Amino acid sequence: MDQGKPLPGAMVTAFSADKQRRETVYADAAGRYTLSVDFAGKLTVRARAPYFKDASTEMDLPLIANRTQAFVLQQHSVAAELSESLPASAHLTALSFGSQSSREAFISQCNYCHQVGNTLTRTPRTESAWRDTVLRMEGYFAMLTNKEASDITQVLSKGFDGQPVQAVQKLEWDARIAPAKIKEWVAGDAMTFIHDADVGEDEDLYGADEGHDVIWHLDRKTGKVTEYKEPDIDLPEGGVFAGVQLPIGVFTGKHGPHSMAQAKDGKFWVTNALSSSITSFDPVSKQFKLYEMGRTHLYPHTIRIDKEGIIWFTIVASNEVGRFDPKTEKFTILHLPEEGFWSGVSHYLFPWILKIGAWFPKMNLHMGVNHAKWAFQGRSAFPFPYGIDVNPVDGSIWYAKLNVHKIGRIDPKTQEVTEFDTPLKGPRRLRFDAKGNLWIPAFDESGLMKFDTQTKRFESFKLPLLAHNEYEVPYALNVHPKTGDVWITSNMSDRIFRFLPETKQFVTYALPTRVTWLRDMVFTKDNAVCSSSSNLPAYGIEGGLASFICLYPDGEPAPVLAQK
Amino acid sequence: MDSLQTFFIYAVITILMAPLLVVYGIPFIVAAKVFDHFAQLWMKDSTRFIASCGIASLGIAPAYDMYRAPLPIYTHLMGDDSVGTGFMLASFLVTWLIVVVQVKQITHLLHRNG
Repeated sequence: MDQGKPLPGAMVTAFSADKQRRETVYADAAGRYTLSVDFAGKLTVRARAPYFKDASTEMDLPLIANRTQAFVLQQHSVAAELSESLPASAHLTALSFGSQSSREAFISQCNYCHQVGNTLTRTPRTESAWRDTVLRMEGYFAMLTNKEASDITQVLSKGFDGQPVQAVQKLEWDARIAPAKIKEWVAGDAMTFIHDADVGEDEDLYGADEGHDVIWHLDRKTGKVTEYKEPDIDLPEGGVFAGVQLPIGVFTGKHGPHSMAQAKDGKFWVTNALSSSITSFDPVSKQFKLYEMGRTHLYPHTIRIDKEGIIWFTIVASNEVGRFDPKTEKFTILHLPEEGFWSGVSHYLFPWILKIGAWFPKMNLHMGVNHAKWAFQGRSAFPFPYGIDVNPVDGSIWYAKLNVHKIGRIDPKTQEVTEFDTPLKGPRRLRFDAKGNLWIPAFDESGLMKFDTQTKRFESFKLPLLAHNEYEVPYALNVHPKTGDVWITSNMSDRIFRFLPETKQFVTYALPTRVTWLRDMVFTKDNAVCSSSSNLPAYGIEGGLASFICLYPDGEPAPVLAQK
Repeated sequence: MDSLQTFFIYAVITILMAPLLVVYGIPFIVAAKVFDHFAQLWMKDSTRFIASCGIASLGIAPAYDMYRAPLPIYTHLMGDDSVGTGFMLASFLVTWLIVVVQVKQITHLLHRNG
């Protein structure tokens, strides 16, 4: 309530006593909420709404209990406090780029795996300090030309000056979100990097922790989180990328498990980005089995399984798609069409540069010889085949080339490749709907694209922004198998979008935890859409820890313990 | 140990990037050839050879940016980047020595192969 007026859409979150679990509901049009939780003890309950100060209370609840708790929220009256409460997307409006190409490079490369503009990343710094930060990020593979790096350094040092930003966001109440519930389960520590989550046949969630060579298992019924460590390998820390100064403390593994998909026999298949391998993980026996594809194939990425049980995955830094037949245990690596001379240079020389770079652990030799810089190519030197999916209609394999704005089709029988330019830039993790339409998030342009694989026509949609001068970086999406709704990550404003193809409308769900950066989206049988919250680093997330997250759009049946 | 490793990483990067340095040095290499041609009227062969290599080295001698990426010193100066005088001199002298040795080797190989 705002001094007697209801605040529809306000989020009420219950935190478990150990702060490992959070459950959230939205207040309805009358400002009422019902929040059922299955954890007891000393809970903290917080009410949060945009433009208002948080209000919270503690309560001691036995397992079976009802409690009525009303909140009266006070509007922010101090500009600095209001500014602090705004999401990263609002703070990014303080950045003023003189060059469109540098702005595009910033959106594409600086938001690549984390928000910019949140509390951690908007600290005022001198130009020299920002230069060091940009240099560090380039070491983590942000691919910028010297001009782009210089422009971005200057813009960040001028824009993030510690002054409050103006709050001009428009927030409209949508009654369709009222029944929804959000559940979050913390996993790991401040350095945990659960890149992707997948839902198993057992309806539990599994997550690939790229930094620590760990598969996390979340029992959604009990909330218990267990970790399973991948076996060791004859590689140094950082794997094939040992010469690269990866984020300190985060990447302490050698495999870098990245993306996962479950086969019909129940085994998960996981790409190991740092060890040029894939591994199977049996969730019953907890056994891993490793398959190496050769260390010149760099950074196996998104993985999907077709109806024949064949495993397909993109290999981003080598401009390749991999095919693995679990029956024969044989790899076939398809080299995708080059994007000109420099992309060929990347393909043929970069593996050797990394090999030589490994003589100098974590010293970033690759940056001294990087043709993205000296040949003025920037990110286009690496096409980055990224998302991949299987067309349910004809079994063809489709992928997105992130940095050169293309999608491509692979004929699974002939392996013939056909590519198409996308109308919006930054096609990232794409997915098919049941009719064979390909849905593609446009990371660089706050957009959503639909590609009709029959007519070969695109249709584009702009994501709903909180203000006209903001942007989003939609990383991934997925299409609900029953409803056909497209669920899309926002990643710059702590929201999830649901696109209704029939009416071409978006439904927007605000998320309760600031700095929520979601990856692959998956669906459970109890109608939740789930993901991993894995801003890099996790300590940048509100609360400082990574988590699994599930949104139940129609609510989750459970015993009522707290009620207003 | 750290400084030795740093020295070696610079050395490896410079070797890998040597072809690019030579490409950037082409105007100076051409100037060195022209000098070599005309100076034979008044200069001894050995002196002329050393001087020509010096001219070519002016266009090749590298300075490094914050990524340890080498580019010839003259390109840094044209781009208004500051390069320390001591470093410039050292880079030039080392490059001169390497160019002399390399050109001698190449000439020897060419003579041997007819």
